[in-house]
Amino acid sequence: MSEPLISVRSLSKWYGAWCALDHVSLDVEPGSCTVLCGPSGSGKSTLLRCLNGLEEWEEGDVVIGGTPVAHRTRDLRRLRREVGMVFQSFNLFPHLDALTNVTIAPRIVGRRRRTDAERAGMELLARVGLADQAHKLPADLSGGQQQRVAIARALAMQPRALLFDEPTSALDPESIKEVLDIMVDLARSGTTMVVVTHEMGFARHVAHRIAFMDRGRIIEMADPRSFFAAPASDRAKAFLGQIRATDPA
Amino acid sequence: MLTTAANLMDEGGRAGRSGAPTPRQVRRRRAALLQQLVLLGALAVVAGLIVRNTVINLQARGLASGFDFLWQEAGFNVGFSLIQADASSTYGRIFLVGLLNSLLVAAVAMVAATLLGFLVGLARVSPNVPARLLSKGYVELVRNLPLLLHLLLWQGVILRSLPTVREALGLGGVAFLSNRGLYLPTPAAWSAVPLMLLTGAVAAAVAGLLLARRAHRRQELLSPHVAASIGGLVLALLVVTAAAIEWEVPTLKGFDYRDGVKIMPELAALIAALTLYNAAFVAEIVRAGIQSVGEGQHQAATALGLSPRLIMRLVIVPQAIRVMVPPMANQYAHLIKASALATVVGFPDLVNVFMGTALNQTGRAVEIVVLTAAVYLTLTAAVSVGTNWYARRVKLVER
Amino acid sequence: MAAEALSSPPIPRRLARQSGVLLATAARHPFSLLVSLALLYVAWIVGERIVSWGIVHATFVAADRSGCDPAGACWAFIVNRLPQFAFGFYPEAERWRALLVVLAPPALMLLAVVPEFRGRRAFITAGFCLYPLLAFTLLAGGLPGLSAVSTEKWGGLTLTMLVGMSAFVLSFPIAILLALARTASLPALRLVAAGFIEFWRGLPLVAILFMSVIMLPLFLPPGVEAPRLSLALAGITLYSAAYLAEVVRGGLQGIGRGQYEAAGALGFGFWSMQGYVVLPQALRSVVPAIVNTAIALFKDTTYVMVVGLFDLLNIVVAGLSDAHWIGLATEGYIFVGVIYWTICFGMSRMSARFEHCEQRRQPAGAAAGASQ
Repeated sequence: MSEPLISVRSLSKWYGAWCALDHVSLDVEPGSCTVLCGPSGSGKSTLLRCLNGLEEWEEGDVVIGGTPVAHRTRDLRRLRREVGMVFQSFNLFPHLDALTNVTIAPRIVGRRRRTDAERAGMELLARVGLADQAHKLPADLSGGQQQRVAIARALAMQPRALLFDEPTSALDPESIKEVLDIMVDLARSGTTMVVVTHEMGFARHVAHRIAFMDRGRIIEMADPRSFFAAPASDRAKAFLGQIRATDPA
Repeated sequence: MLTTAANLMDEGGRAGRSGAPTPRQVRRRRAALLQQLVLLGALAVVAGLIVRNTVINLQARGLASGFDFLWQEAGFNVGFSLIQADASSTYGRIFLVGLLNSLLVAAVAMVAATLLGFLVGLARVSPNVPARLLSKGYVELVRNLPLLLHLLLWQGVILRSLPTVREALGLGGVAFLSNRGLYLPTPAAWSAVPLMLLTGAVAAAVAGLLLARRAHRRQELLSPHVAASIGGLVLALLVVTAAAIEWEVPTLKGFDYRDGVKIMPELAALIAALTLYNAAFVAEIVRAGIQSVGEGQHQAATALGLSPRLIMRLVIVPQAIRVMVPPMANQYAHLIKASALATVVGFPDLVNVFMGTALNQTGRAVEIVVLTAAVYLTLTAAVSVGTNWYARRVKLVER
Repeated sequence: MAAEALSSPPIPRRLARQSGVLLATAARHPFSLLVSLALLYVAWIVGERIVSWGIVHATFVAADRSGCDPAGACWAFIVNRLPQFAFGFYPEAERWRALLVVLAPPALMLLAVVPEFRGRRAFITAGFCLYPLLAFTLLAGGLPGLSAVSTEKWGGLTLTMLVGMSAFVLSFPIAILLALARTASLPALRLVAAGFIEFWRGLPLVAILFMSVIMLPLFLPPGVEAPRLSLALAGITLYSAAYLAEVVRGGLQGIGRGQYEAAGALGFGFWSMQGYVVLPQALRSVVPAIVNTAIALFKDTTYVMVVGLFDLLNIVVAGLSDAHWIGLATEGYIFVGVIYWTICFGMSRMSARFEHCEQRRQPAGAAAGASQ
């Protein structure tokens, strides 16, 4: 059994007196796709953002690739090169075209030559189906297209793991499918992914594990089949009931 | 949103469960403290070097230090003063004279520029095409010329082309305009009757304002008839007062007019230039304010059946004013600072008289500069404090 | 005017309809019509007099005042003294150097509106950044091939361009640093930056110039002398930096948190994040305000007159006391006014065009992607 790529040990975070994460532990195996789900306020986005240091925690450890993450600036920057993130509101750089969005981090942070970075960038854009939009500005792209560029941008740094923070929540229904297709493709090709999402169809078909969170704790962790067929806890049952009622997928 | 990259890198943390800071936070706060100490230390070193150089240089030039010069006799006359001052006045008194002159210029120009600016601004958005074009032409012409050029134009060209004292333009026989100045009559003395009349006029005006405010609060409209009657009463009382008192009329004696008050051409040029220049900017602020009130407001008001004049007064103007206040305050601050241009035309304002003449005579560069800077910083700070107060007050009302 | 129909009818019918509308409006608002007529009459009278004096009866070539027609403008004064107005007291043989300094900024700005060519942006940026150093060196000389010319001899439009451009270019990096400091997380840094900015913004430029010329020499190590031009330039630069810092700060405030997070997630450090992600967006969003500051700065260069420097305005004022050309203040000031007006109006037109282009590049979709 290989070493887990990401290991979270008894992570705790408070906002004042309110507990956002309560001694959460989680192991992410390399090549696996883990889905974090749960009602809003359960701490799933907070947990995700702790994994690349966007959020700080009060107690516990995060270990990535065997190295514990300490909150020193230099370490954080190194960590972020290893772990990529895709945001709910895409956060593309509006003043740069799609290709430059993808290549700017490898060039500036990764110090790659422009020609190499652009070649790799075009490959990535082709992989997400947007090679012909390489020179369009984000303002000229649809939401789904922007999110696909964002995925290509995160991939450009060749991270060891990819984090997705509700990647399709800000998209209209037509665009959701095109983004999910890319994510399915990534998961099937062995990318280590941790995804916070409400898209249970994606979770059912592609995730290796589902972690259900509520009030700062992981209440249930199981493979998709068992989770959807027979959730163990009452809260998970209630949650799944609500999801099924609103979404046929 | 003021979250900066630095915040992201440092990860501003919150207290742990017990409320005590975690070791990580303690480390970070210590680092921040250290950085700030280093910064302040570096600044202290630079300041120290500057002070050292200054002291050496001052000694080398044989210049004394200290604020005691404020009680010394100045020994020069000031061309225009609101308070009593002559060659025997102290430097402290001269400071006051300059300050009051600056404030006078700023205040008069502020009022005049606001009035003119409002007129031009309203013309900019009026449906009357020639008015709109002419006001736009005025604004574009005036705005793109330096204020100093305006000033020199007024002083060197316009005012110099006024007639000489002998052939001064008479305005109603009580005021005279020449290239040496504008001469206005002043009241000679006050006696009981005119004082009573004046008090009555002031009381009527105040009563009228209070009435208007009360009506406004109850969302009533002050009837135009009542407003006209109060206005008429105030006007009548003022006219009778003016007729009843004795005036000192400027009369030509020898080479110049005596009696009454003389407004020197430098002051007039300064006020005229400041007014015309700033009015253009005020006009743009007014225009932007009125246009910022969405078309929807206008349509809704029309649908309610309000007349165009009422729409302006009740719907457009109150909202426009809210938008106008910050840039207007900015413009006033600019105006206060622009009054320092008096130096160029020789009008004795604070900078001219204190930072110019007084500094030349006493050589107390550092002290004089510190005092002058303190005055202007206080004035501009007062303007921004006033703006903030008004903005906050307006916010409450809006909610 | 009443709203026109969406289709366009043939011209004669449209004219008839428009004049019909005009007459109807005029009948309804007689007061407005009167005001219009009065304004038009005044405009006609004034315009006719200006044309008559300024063009019809004007003299363009003459040896001195007596050669000018008294009924018209004496532009010969301007023509005669043009070299001095343009170059100040610069030695005649070296005037080409001053000419280059004067022409460089408009040339650079014209490049911005000319059809695009490769590397244009880099060229223009480099041109602006290097202008202060190159212009100063070119004018000062003292190098092999360039004879030395003291700063006392610099003047006229050359000095105006030099001071204006240099102050603007030099104040930019200072302004950016100040704005970043003002929004930093360290309280001491924030306070110092805020204090510095408010200090330079709260004083009149006249006072600042006096301060620069009188007090800065006291701050320098004993024995070190600086020419008056440099002192005045230092004062104007810091003054401009304070105003520009507030403009940049406004731009920074518009950058959403998501941009910082995305850049951080990609591994950008603080300075590379500012340089490649934050500042390009922040500065682009406040270009109109930046241009307004530049226009104001250009007009403010006239203030150097109060410390005895001979910018364009001051040198014309000095020329007015020439015995051969007495009483021509009007012509002189109009000349200065035309030059300033052209440059300032041109700059504001360019800014309007830039804003128009930017708005076309940012349809509503940008909102979702750019900020949170």
